[in-house]
Amino acid sequence: MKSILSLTPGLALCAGLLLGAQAVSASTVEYHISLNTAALIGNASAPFSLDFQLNDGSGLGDANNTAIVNDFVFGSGSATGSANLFGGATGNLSGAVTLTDSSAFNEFYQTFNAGSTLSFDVTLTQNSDAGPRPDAFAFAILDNSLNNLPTSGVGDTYLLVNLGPTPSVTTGSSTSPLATITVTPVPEPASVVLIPLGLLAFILQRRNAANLRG
Amino acid sequence: MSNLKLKPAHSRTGAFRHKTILLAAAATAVLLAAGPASAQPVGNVFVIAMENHNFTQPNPLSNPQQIFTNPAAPYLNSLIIPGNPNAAQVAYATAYFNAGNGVHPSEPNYVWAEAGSDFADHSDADPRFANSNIFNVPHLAAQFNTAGISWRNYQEDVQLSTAPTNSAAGTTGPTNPYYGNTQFNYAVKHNPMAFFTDTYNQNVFPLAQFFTDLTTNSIARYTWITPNQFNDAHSGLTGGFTYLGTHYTGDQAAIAQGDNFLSIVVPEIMASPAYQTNGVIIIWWDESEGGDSSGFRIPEIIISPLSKGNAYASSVPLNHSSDIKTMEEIFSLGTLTNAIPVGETNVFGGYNNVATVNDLSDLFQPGVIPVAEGVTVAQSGYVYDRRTQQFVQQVTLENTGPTAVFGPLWLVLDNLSANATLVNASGTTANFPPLGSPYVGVNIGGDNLLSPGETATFYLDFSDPTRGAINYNARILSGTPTP
Repeated sequence: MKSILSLTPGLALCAGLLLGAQAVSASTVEYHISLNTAALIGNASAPFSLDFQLNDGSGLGDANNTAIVNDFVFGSGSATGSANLFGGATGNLSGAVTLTDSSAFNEFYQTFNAGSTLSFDVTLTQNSDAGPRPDAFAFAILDNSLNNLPTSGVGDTYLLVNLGPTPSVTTGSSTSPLATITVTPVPEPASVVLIPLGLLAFILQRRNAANLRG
Repeated sequence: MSNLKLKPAHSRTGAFRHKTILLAAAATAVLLAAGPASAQPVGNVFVIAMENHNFTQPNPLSNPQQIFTNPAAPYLNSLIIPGNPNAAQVAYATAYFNAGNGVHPSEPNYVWAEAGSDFADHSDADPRFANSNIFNVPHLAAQFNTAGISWRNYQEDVQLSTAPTNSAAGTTGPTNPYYGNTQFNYAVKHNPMAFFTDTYNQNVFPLAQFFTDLTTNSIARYTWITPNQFNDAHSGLTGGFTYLGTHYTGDQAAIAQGDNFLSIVVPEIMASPAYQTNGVIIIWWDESEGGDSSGFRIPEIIISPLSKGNAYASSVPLNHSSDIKTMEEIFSLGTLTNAIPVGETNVFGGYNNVATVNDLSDLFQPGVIPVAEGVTVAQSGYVYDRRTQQFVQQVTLENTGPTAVFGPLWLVLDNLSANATLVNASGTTANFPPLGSPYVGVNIGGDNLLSPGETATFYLDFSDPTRGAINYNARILSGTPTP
């Protein structure tokens, strides 16, 4: 699964989310997520927290999926405070956060000082759960009262990924103030490799055609 | 069908190309040999409604006597004897049960045959609003109308009544061609379409018209035939009935009259082009007699070139909802979801909802009855929203069937985990068991239809102070104003 999500800055809160996915292996999927957090700088609701959840669809706490969130880049900001962990959550924003669906509800959140941008990577396993509900990874931003910033996404999230062999991605954008989001698929790495090869073949074909005409 | 796929042919030359052709030919031969023959679609359906007798019962000779092995029903029994020429295209049910506990007398069974419920109508009264037996709900004939599928309702002696909604009986009618005297008896309680606001007088014809239509090959895709109350085995003729040299009286006369009628009408249908083009005759009985437990089994006989044939006996549990489900599958209709009144349980303790019962496919050759399609439910995982302190789930319904699903559309959450409450519930089920289940109304737009391929996405909001597991069984209801 490949996609780029980008948020157009809004009136005050300008959150931009750039999301690109790379298939790391047959059983994991990786997304690069980028946000424009300039509107959070100096906001009265600061400090904000990054909130990640990996909740078990079966409710059994079957621990069959894992989310690794790392490579945090806060722009001019930084991670602050300490991690708040629930269920199968470990780590912190200074290194990596790992969530496992070992409980029905698994959550991590930690405060940060917002810079102009924020980015991180998410690697998710792709196992299906028993029953009709998949495991779900979610990303949200909490205000200083630990309330989700309202978004148009599912449950005030910026990102919800239903895990499985073909993960489904639902994105949200901030609604107060408004920010919009666009999604652009990007090719897989293997496809990227094929592009120059295709161009080379095209050039050779044109050259051969030109030689024949000449 | 095989999963083998042949790659696109590439330019080949000489011997290599020859080998490729040979391999392709061999692969094709394998496909033809290994794959089952393509199922042919069902043609016209003829339902003949019979009355008030069990196929088998705990005491075969208790009154009314059962049909199986009954000497007054030689034709019917010939249909279910393997090797009998009459049985060549026959399959029948040995486990067809009453629609539900207490679904009696006749009328609720005919209503059920149309709608998959009797709506607690337990009378035989002619349809009147004062009798609370006129229904404005989705039902099979209405589904046919919506889908543009032709249907006709032939009621013997209806022409002797003032209207299809008025019963009529007497002794001074025309001579009946089957039993040879002037007794007549049209009973609206045996006219299933008469109890619905949109079809009470629609497409209803005297039985004689059926044979005209048969002759002119202008038969509808779905034909319902109700003989009068003498020919459907409901009532013995005054004076009894002599059949094949034996004089029967009372209920045995009624059985003989019905058998006589079928022995004449069924072969006529079978001789018609309308039947011979993959037609299906369903000889249907309305209700069990003497009890609703599993010991009282109703006849259901299928005659068709597409049946398993040679008196195949199916032990798959069936009931009136099975017939509806099969018609919906044959004609690519949506699934009726009318509420079944509490307590009208089947012999297994559950309810004969159209969506969940067995269809008649076991009576047919493999693949003849298409698999039902309907509304699918896609659920997201849960996310906890700290602002609302609720777990949120996104749900998408999609109509994967070929026809529109009637609104209102409801998603019912049965067996919701005790630790969770559906905060945005519209109510709890009061009419469609299981009762007490929370449900939400689904916005399907101003047309109040979920068209084929159309989706409806919405959120479910749960409070769960334990932040534990939230489980439920999703159930779709449509077309009912009050789940």
